[in-house]
Amino acid sequence: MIATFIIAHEDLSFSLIQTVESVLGKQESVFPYSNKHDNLQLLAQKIKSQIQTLQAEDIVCFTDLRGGSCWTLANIVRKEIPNMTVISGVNLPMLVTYFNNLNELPFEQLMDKVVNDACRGITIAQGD
Amino acid sequence: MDVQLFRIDDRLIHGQVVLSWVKYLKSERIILCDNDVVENAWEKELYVSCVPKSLECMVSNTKDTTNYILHNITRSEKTIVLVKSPAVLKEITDYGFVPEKVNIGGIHYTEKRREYLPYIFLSDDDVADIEFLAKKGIKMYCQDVPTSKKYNILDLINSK
Repeated sequence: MIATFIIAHEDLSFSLIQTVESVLGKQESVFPYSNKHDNLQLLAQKIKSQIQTLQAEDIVCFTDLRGGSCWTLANIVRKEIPNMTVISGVNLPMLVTYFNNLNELPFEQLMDKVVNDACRGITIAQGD
Repeated sequence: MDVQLFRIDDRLIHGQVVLSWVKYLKSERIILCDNDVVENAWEKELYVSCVPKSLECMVSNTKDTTNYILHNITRSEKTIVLVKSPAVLKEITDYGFVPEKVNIGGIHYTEKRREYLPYIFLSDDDVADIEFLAKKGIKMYCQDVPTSKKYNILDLINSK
């Protein structure tokens, strides 16, 4: 089993999950967190306690801004959790690809596809 | 050096500092002053890794930070100094640097802390440290990003 965490500013992680589930249906083992209010050490503690209750082979943790406090926090947790992967720049295409392929692709391929599809989802259209 | 922003923020280097304040103040240097981070190579690298290349960034303990500021006081380098708590600022004042104005940008919730603003939570110890620093003549105001309202921290404490 892969457990999924999303740590982001304000209510973004909750909204992202709600939106993903409105497109793909209910997802299992997904844990949203916000950096609002809590001190980062306290939040790290909450996330580590949550991970300890899970029998996950892998932990995937999505964060929004690279270099932001959610990302820093996720990486501080990762230092203590050997099977944890942190991905920054979370967006909707990224999550749709991730949940659509979660139990189908080998882990490394899944990670590559997630990042590639997240970038491919960004296009510019102008003029005629 | 021109300490244009002396900031208490328990998130140290993060989006609000690097994306908002640096752009607003056209800063040239960030000093992350923390006795724990300086001892932890992994965390130090983590914080420094996302600072734009256009900015000088140093991580140092309270003693070295104070010496650096005092020795470079005449240099005109626009600098942001970041510490995680009023207690760390107290240490810096003990070493001999007393900033005139201090921005309190984030002290977040832990057990024993009460909410004053959505980004300011203070324990009795924090309040005691802030009152001690205020008696030294330091003016402290809460403001998370440059466009948001400023609040005098003593007014917030007294209104509780």
